[in-house]
Amino acid sequence: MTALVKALRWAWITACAVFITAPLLIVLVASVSTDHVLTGWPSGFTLEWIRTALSYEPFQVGFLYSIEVAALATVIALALGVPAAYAIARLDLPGTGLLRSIFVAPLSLPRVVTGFSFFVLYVSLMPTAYGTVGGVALAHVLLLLPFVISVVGSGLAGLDPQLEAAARDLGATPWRAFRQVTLPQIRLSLVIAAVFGFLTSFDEVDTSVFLMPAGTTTLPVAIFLRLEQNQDPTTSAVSSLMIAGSLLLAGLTAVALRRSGLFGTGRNEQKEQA
Amino acid sequence: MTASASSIEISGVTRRFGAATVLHGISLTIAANSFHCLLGPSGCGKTTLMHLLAGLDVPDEGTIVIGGTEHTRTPAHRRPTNLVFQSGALFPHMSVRDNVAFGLRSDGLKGPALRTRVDESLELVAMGEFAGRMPATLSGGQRQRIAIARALVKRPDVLLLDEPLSALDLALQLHMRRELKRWQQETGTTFVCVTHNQAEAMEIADEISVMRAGTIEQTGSAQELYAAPETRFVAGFIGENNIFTGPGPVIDGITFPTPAADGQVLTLRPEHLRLVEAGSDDSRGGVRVDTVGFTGRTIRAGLRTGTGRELLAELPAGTPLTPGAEVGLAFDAGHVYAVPS
Amino acid sequence: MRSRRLATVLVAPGTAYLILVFVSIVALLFSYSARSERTAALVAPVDWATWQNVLTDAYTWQVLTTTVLLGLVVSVLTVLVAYPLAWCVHTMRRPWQATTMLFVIFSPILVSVVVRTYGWAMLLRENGPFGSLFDGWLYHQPGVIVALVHVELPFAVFPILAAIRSVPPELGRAAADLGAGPLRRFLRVQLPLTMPGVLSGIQLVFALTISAFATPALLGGGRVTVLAQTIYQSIQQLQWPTAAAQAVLLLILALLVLTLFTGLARLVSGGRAAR
Repeated sequence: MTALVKALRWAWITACAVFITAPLLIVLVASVSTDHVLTGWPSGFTLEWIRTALSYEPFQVGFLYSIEVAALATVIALALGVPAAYAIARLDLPGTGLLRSIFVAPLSLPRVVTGFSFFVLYVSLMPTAYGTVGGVALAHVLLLLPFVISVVGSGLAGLDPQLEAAARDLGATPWRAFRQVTLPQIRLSLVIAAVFGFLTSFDEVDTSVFLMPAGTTTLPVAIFLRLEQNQDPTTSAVSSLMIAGSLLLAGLTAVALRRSGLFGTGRNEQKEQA
Repeated sequence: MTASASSIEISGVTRRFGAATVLHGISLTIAANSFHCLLGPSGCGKTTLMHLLAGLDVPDEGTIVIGGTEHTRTPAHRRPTNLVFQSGALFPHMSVRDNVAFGLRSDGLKGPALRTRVDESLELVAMGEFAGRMPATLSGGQRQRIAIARALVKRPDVLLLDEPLSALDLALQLHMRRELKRWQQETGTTFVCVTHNQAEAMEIADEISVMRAGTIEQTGSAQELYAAPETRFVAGFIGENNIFTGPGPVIDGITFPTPAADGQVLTLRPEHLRLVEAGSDDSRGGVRVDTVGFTGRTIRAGLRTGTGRELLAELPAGTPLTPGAEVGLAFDAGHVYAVPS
Repeated sequence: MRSRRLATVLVAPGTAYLILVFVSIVALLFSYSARSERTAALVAPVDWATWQNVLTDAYTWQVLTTTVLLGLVVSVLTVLVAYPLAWCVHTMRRPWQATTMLFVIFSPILVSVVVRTYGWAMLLRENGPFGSLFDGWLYHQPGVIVALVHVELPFAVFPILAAIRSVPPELGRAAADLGAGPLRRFLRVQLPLTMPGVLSGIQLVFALTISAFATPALLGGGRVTVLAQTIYQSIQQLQWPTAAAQAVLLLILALLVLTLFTGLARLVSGGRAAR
């Protein structure tokens, strides 16, 4: 590679890295800056905004609300998605192609349309679901299902289907064959699907904004509604808490997966164990 | 010979997938404590038949009796058979020991008894020192040994092997053939092995069933199949052969002592051909030497008749030959074998 | 057959949920858009007045134009940023560098769109950290575009990266050996072979942009209005039938884009098969 190309490459990578991280970094900096409006490098640092954000009631309520919604939506999406992914990948089923496209179809549905549709669904058929954890979670399931199906499906696709046949040949019942042979090998996909699904639901605005009254909302919707009015350091503080929380959860998951040896399908880890 | 090793009786087994019939009413009896090979080209239905024996699939018609008990519809995990997969199908997330112990744990065995059985089995295949390793760290040959130990440890009445050597390199295949034969004799288990490699089948099997297009063409020992093929397919598939089609007595410029009967073809093994001076008394027709290859014990010569037919001759090493030479073809009348076409 | 029965049992709950949701969405959207009064009743007298109003309103067409143009500009810009970036990541020698860069590219997906948009609002502000560099961007088109490119960038990088990775490196070397210069190698070998990845990147970004809501709502300053926002506004003004009609329009737009790109993808890959 010529020196010019090399220089251009690094310039582009650096520019992109700055472009990608800048809006996150400024939020983090603003949340601990003494300046009310950030105009340059902060003149001093403070934890006051973070403290205010933590004690601001709509944010507290929203945080718990979001956690509940995300947990419920993830559980339902996994319960519906994992068996379906397994059946589509492994079992003798007619019309697998059609089924697969049904399960990824929600991806092409604009989230705002999903939100509005669930809104009219609830007001006309299930008025009690509007604004409840269950109601919001049930709508989020639609967003998570395609993801669960494709992540778990590709995990299964990477497995030798003969392994389960071998287990059954060695005397394992079909259930034991699934639990002891297939499940341990798709655990990585399951964890990724669960964590990413949880974060997707936790962060969701476009769908949620239609499904709850302005008084009690999930955290991102609370931030959205507040930003529509004004911007202040408290919003920066709660935003930077969300950034930290998301990255922390993703990081912890990666570390936990590495430690439990779930990346251990690679040769290196297995050599270490040997 | 132990009495516990049971024979297999397959009667009228048919298997269809949609509109395609993969097995056409197969009937076959396999003797106890024998090494049986199902030999055939890919797509002949041999793997399907193996899956039916293992219980991984169910026939549409017919019955399968193993050791005197009908097992046509018994699921895989309740059959007295175990299968060695072509890929080995070792569980990548379990150590060698856990792989071998898997089947015994399914039967509820644990503790020292389990350990002894696993060690015994690993010793049989000479893999005792690898018990703690993970499958990904083993070579192809080692993995296949573990796959065999994993199946044999269950002391099945019948061990099924699906192309067990095809993923290995040739030198290793040749060695493993003798190992397989030895393990079969040491354990006194009935081995049923699927393969597309006729040399492999001839070397390891007591009896071979040659399969084609969902039917069995002929069953017999390697010697029987080689010396007396009953069909043209078997004649061409078992060992190498020169096949002559036509009424005779002169076919492709070669004069045969007896003409072929209606619906028959004449066959001549390459090692039964001799080359003599063109036009001499022994010569039964003129051919041109195309190619000459030295293999060690023999010379393999590609010949071409006046009509353009290619023939293969296997001649003693040291036979002087030059490509392009015009020579006469000779053979004994007793080596011409007629089979139905 | 046993396995087929088991498969049906496993696949049924998820399928039932999806079909129920799809059917009720389509039925309700059309039912609500074909009434003129706001009622929560399941069925109401059919009245095409709402559709008439929405379709004859110049505002609708203006918003629709903004939405499509925004989608075009953002998807083209995003791919122009993403392609070289994906190539840079692909050619990184040390694995940890590539992993780190992939994490950087991926990390914004983990952060809520609202938070990312808020970050852009602070960056682009007049008298913000960049002084007057971005004056006039915030609450105008450029601000919305920049923020959307940022939000959608990962969705373009990953399909393009996958496509670049699937091109055997020998092909580039073979082309060089046959005397092709770098530009020719890129235009005649690399680009055609990675076109399916580029297309699916554009499709994803386009689809996500035309249905984007939070970013234009927060950074558009009321000057940049897209279809998704009008649905929300109509709800706030309690005009449910109008919102339903607008949702149908957005849905149709999304399906049109999907069909268009499926056709394009078939054209690209079909052309290769025929060659």
